[in-house]
Order: sequence, then C-alpha cells, then structure tokens
Amino acid sequence: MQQFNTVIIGMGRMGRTRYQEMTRHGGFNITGVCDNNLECIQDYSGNKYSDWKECIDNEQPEVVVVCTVNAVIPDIVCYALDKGCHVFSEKPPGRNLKDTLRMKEKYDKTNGLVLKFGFNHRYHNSIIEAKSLIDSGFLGDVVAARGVYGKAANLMRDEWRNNIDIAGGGILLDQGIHMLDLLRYFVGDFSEISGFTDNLVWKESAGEDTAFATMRTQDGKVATLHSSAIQWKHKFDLDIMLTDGYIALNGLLTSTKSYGEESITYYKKDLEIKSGKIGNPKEYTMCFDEDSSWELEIKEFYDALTGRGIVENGTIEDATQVMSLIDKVYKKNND
Amino acid sequence: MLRSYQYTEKSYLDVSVQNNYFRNKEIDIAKEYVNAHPSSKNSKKECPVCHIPSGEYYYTKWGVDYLCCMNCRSIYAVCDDSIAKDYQNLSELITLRVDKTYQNELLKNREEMWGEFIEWAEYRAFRFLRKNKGLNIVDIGNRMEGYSNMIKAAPFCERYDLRDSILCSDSHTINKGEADIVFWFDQLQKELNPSEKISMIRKELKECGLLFVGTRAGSGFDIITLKEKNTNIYPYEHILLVSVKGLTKLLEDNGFEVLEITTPGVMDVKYVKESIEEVGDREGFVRYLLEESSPGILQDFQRFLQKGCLSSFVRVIARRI
Repeated sequence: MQQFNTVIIGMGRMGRTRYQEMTRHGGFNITGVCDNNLECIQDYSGNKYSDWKECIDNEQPEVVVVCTVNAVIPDIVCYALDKGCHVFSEKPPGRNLKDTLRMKEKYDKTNGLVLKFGFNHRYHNSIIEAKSLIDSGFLGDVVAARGVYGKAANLMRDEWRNNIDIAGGGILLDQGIHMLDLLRYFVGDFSEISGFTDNLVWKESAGEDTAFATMRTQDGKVATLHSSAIQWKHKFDLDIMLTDGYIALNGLLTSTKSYGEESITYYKKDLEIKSGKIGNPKEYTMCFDEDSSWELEIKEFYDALTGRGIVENGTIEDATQVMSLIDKVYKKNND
Repeated sequence: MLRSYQYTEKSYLDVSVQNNYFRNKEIDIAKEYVNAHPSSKNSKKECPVCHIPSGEYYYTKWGVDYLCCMNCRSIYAVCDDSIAKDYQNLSELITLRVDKTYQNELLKNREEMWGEFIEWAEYRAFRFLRKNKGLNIVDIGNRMEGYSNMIKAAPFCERYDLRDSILCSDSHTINKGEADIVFWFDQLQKELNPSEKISMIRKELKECGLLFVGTRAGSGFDIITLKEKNTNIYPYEHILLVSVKGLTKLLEDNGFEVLEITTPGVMDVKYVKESIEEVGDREGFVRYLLEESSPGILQDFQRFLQKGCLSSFVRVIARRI
C-alpha cells in the first residue's frame, strides 16, 4: 500500500480521531504531530511540535491534516498548499467567508493537489442511504427539506469555541454548518436565503445560541434550518419531502450515542390508502449500529491522493457555498 | 453490515397469506411421506452451517429429531439427504403446487406483498449496484408463477432466468458469471448441504453481483417458542432453519460479503397466538402477553421482533467477493 508522509496539526479530540483512523487505514505514515498544548501529544510516537510552521518545515510532509481551532485554519491550509502539500482540514473552513475565499484563491493556483474539508456527516449510513434513495428516483424529486440540529451547550464555559475571535460564530457556524451542508447535498444549491440568529438564553455570549434560516433554490425547492444550542439535549432530525414520498432521518450515531439511534424511515405516498388507513402509509425503517463515517471519509481522501478517485464530498466548492450561506445570515442579522 | 426493519400500521393478526385447504393438503402429503420414509437415527448430526457435531437435541416432529447447533444456533433435522431430496421431487406435491387454483390462491393472497418486495429490491439494487435498469436476474427455486411473472416484468429486469423450479424447465439466457442479481427465496430451508448450493449460486453471479436470500430463521420468535407445535414448520419441507448468525457465517464462508440483514416477517405473533394453547404453560410469559395484550401492543411486539432481527423470516443481501 502506498504510504504518504503525514503530519497532524492540532491534537485535540478531532486530531486524535483522525490519527486513529489514518493509522488504521494504513496509507498514512504519520511522522509528526503538533499542538501548542504539549500534554496533548506526549503519548504519541514520532516527532512532536508546538509550532505548526516548524512542524511542516522540518517534516516536509506530503499530507497536512489540520485539526486546529477555526482562526488558524486558513493560515495553515494556505501555507501547506504553498509548500506543495495535500491538505485535509476539519470544518468549518475558517471563521468566515473571507477565510474560505482566501483558501480557495490559494488552492485554485495549485496544480494536482488534493484539498478536502471534513464534512463528516455525509458519510453516515443514514445520509448515504437517503442520497441513494433520492438518486434512485424511487420517491420522485425532492421539493423541500426541514433540518433541526440541536445540542445542550453552555456558551459561557471558558473554551475556544465560545471565543468569537477564535471561533468566528456561534451554533450556526459550529454545528448548523453540517445541517446546511446536508440540505445543499439533498436539495441543491440555494440562490436565496433569509434568516436570523439570536441569543435566546445565553444573553452574554458573543456567539448565537439559535439560528433559523429559510432557503430556496433557483428552481423553487425550499429548505429550512433550525440550529440550536438550547435544545438541552442532543437532537438530529432531517425531513425530506419528495413528489412521491418522504424521507425522515432521525438521530446520529456518535461515540457517545447522545444523538440517539441513527435511522432512516421512508414511505411512498399512499393516496389510494393501500395501507388501510389514511395518513398511515407503509413505512420502511433502517437503523444502524455501526458508524463507518470516519473510515469512509479518510478512504475518499486517500483514493483522491492515489488517483483512484476524486474528492466528491467536502470540496472547496462545498466549503465556499456553505460559508456563503452562513455569511448571508450573519450579515442580515447585523443589518 | 446494515440492520433494518419494516413497519406498517396494518395488523397481520387477522390476515392470512395461506389458503387453509391447500396448506392442509401439503401437510398431509408431507406427513404421509415422512411416515413412509422415516429418517435413520444414525443420519449425519453435524451442523450444516458449522460442519461440526455441535447440535443438541431440540425437539422431535413426526418422528424426526431436530437439533440446535450450540455454535451458531441454527436448527436442523437429523435426516437422510436423499430422502429429503426425494420429498422435494414428490409428484403428488408438485402436481398440487403447479395446479392453477393453487397458483391463483397464492396470487390473491400475496400479490401486494410481492409488489412491495419488488419495489424494495429495485431500490436496494440501486443502492448497491448504482443501477436499477437493465439487470440480469436469475431466480432459483421460485414456485410461485405470479411472483415470477412480476419479477420478469419489473422495471429493473432486462433478462430473467428461472431455475430449479417446479413451474418449468430451466431457462438459460443468462450465462454463468453474467447475473447481476440472484434471487434465492424459501429454498435454504430445504438444504442439508447449503455450502455446496451457495458455491454453485456464486458462480452464476458477476463479480460484485448481489445475492438476495430469504428463508425461515431458526432464531425467530415463533420457531423458538412453538418448537414442534409450530404448524408451519415440518419435515422434510423445513430441514434447516438457519439463525441470523448462521446465515451470515454460511455466506461469509462461501465467498460473499453480507451487506444487509433484516427479519421483515409479519406473522410471528399471529402464528404463536394461534398455537399458544398447544404450548401450555411452557411459555408462561408469552402466553400471558398474547392472551392479555391489546392488538396494538401485539403489533408493537411484532415491530420489536423485526427491529431486533428476531422474526422467523430472514432476508439478506450479500455481495459476491
């Protein structure tokens, strides 16, 4: 198996997850890890750095994996691309659209490099099934979607995520971005968006605890998003309305299982009442007890590196589109 | 591997997918044959899935012992392979089953169910093959003419071959290694050498082609609860009742990757409810549940069985590797 010399910058929770998955995959030779908190890297073999520039300069890797806080993502991504490295970066792609466009501009000037962002939700089983169901045409065409993504968060806790200068935004940028990406994935590119953010509970927080958005595509498909840090429990629900049926995605399988069982339910419209009761069509449900999302995401990145595939998910275009939507909601709020 | 379940508000407690007259006729023929051809107690006692003598006595039906494999939990009959094979070719049974009235009754009772299966198969074909048009389908052992006709006419089917069926002689428009999909339904329960059969089926498929298997499962609720009192399970019609674990092993040992396993059965609760008097107090809780619960609770219980892969009809999609 071809191995790529790799460094991971940022060894917090996501860095450790990527380290494990890339090691398990076998196609990455992780020669160095970097974190400004040395406690985070003391247990890892290989060279250890607290300065990301030094890490890239010394290791001269083929692949740079960026798992840092939002504020430094664009600097590292651009520097790595300049050095001719392939890059895998966590979401969000920077703190704002300007950050993302900076990376896009840099990437557009490269030739043959791979750049992928970690929109990991696309690799969950329920999402894969839903995409396949939609693409099969079995339920007709998508016309509308409604996404709710919520968590129980303390926005006053002392952590980088709650520092607006480092994070760039609140719940919409941190978590809602995944649901926005999925809405784009299933419905299409949105040409219109209206929405607002608010601090309904965490009044002193610089980042919002609530965001609502309504979007429409050029051809009239509609989607709504409710992103919440004040759900007070973890919740993931995505409903997709099609011309001949309906798909509901509920729950998301995570290591803590706090988002509940991951499932997809679908049914065909049954206006002739074959099921025997009006409004109760026959449902088909799939539920999943394995999360292969990390593995599949890294596999796609590796296949793109070896030329066996391309980056289909988490492209710079995906990143730009979704950050553009978030940018518009934040701007409307500030108007 | 995916685990999934199907659910409907429709209650199957008052629904029958069988015609009692024909079902009783089939049972009479089988019983008469078993009485005339008892199996030797010295027959092979190895588990057909694990190939080790891991079976413990489970129950006896019409003089035929059934063992339960302590390794994979599949249930199998102790009988001679040749006697079981001869039973499948019994002219009296074939004559009954190819009869127009028999076939019409099947169509009447199961058309809706077959239609739902075909829609499901079309979607799953797309999921795993990325196409649901122009597929070569080999259907093995199907003895239901209406079902066969519906598959042949399905939008995803380009070419269709029916093999090992009492309905007609084998058709061979699809060469070995050319099938996109093989359907193998209600046949595994009649096999004492399943590995051999699965190896043969594998050769029919293209690289990465799909095998859809459906069979009665020995890990299912009505089979474990009713044992010999189950009026729907009898020798030599059912001589291997694989467990979910056993079926997975069987396919993996014979060159397949199991992609999806489900038990979408809808009749377990109905079957147990109908025969619970026979079981007596052996299953005290089950008896209480079935006698005292509302139809809604019993529907929920069937749903629980589906969700937990505990129904006695198991369906698998496996990919040739």
